[in-house]
Amino acid sequence: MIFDPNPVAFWLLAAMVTGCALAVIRAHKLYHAGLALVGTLFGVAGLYGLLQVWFLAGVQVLVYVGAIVILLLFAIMLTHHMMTPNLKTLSTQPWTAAAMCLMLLAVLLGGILSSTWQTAPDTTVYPTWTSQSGFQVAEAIPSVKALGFRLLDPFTLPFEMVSVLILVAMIAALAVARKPPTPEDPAEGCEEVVP
Amino acid sequence: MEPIFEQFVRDLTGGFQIPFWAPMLVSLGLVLAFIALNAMFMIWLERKICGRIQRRLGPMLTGPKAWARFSMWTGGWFQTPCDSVKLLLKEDIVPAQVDRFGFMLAPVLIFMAALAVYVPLPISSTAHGQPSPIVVAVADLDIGLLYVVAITTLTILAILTAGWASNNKYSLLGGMRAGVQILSYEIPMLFALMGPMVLAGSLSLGDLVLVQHAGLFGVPFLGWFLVPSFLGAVVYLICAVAETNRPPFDMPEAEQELVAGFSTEYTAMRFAMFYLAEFSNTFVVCMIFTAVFLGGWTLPGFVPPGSLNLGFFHLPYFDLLAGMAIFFAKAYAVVLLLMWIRWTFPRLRPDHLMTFGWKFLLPLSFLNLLICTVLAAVQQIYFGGNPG
Repeated sequence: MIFDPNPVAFWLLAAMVTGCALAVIRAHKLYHAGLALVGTLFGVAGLYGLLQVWFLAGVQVLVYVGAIVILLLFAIMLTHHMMTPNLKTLSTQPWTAAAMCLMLLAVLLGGILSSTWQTAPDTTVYPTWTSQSGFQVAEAIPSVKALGFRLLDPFTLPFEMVSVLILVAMIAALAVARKPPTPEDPAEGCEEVVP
Repeated sequence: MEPIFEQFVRDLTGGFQIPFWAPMLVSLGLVLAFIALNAMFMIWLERKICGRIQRRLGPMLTGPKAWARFSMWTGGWFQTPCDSVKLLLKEDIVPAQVDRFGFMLAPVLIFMAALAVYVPLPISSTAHGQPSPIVVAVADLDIGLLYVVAITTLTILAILTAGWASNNKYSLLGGMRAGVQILSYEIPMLFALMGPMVLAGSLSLGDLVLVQHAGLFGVPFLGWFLVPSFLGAVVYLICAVAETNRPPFDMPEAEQELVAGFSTEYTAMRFAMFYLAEFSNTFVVCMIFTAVFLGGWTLPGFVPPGSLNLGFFHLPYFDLLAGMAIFFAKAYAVVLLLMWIRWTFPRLRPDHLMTFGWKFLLPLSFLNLLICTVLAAVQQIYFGGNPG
């Protein structure tokens, strides 16, 4: 029998994701929760890698670990809970929380069970280029190239709409967070910080 | 790594099939040894060049006296090995008030990032000029450049953690400064690297080098992406200096303000890990610059033969060795440039650094991407063989 490492890797990664997720909500220091979140996101990236979507795994690490968690940690450092040793981590309304979680679980399970999962790789053939022989027909593997063709060919409109949506969200966040200028101090909220 | 290693073992032992885990272990050992030895050499070189620029001799006393009498460049060879042994033997102190978990995690994390980033870096190839050259790298990943940038972000995490866990105002400020600096300069760096990506139509570093060797517009001498993506190369180099916290961008450990920044509380092995990671990262950005902008292990119009026969001496794997020699010569040229920059420019102010990164480098990298896209389109329309 040939040893298949994939199931072992899957269960290890699954344990890592769940364990770290538990640590996020149970950590007694906010910063530790942030670090545990990194573990969760890395585990998810590992799961993507196991499914051989390397691009998604790379983007997961770059965007979530590299940008979002770092920003989160900066935000944590700015709070006064930064070094508080014993944060209260349990909810004060356990039954409501349990009900909400069960509802979320039901919705997710419903989605997972009712979906027909396409497990075969993308077999569309895309032209590729090598330095020696010019155009060649690519191997039918889910590569970065295939993803690029997919994003810019059939899915251009949704792709662009998502970027507009993100822009709108960003401007909206700015508009909400910024104080309106008052007559006494017109520069309130947007003054230049002089170091 | 795997195919070449397998072939090497087969040639040497006459058909021995290696187990699947052997290439991984061997590459891990090679990379670890390389990081340690190369960092030692780079520290010695840095001190020598600093000495030369400041009209001093640099370390001269440790090592054979006869060598030191010969010239300044042959003296003090044993200085860094001795320093390393001293660092390893020092007492390992964990201050009482630190956050132990974070304090111990940070050096491991930064070294992990420094080690993992070596995976997709190609240093040579065999069967060059043939339809399918085998690239020598630990693994020439399909997403090489993306992987490198993603792993680099772990460095920010480690530095922030070190700053926070030290429970010391200087460390925290140093960690925050380093985090902000690396995060800000990562964006123009990514856009600067996108120019070559568009030109080559690939994220794999091995492919990038091979496309450069093939040349742009059918002219091999236009091939190095330094030429079509010159702005990108300049932006990348500046960002690389900022990413590795080297002067003139070393505010995170500006001594007169912050003692030693995020590494203030660290001693012995843990400090050595930060130091090693810093020098390793410096060399890695030089390797990436070589692979992406300087044509990697190739020279325009030069295809080394598979083996060299000198009549009395037969040298197999000649193309592999020649590629490595070319690659490391180029990488060390970039290292020398970075050292020259380090010892001749004064340190920037943090707010100047931010303004420079966001208002100058970022638009410049956008412009570079635009130029590269136009060039790639011209190549596709008029010269066929479209990159990507």
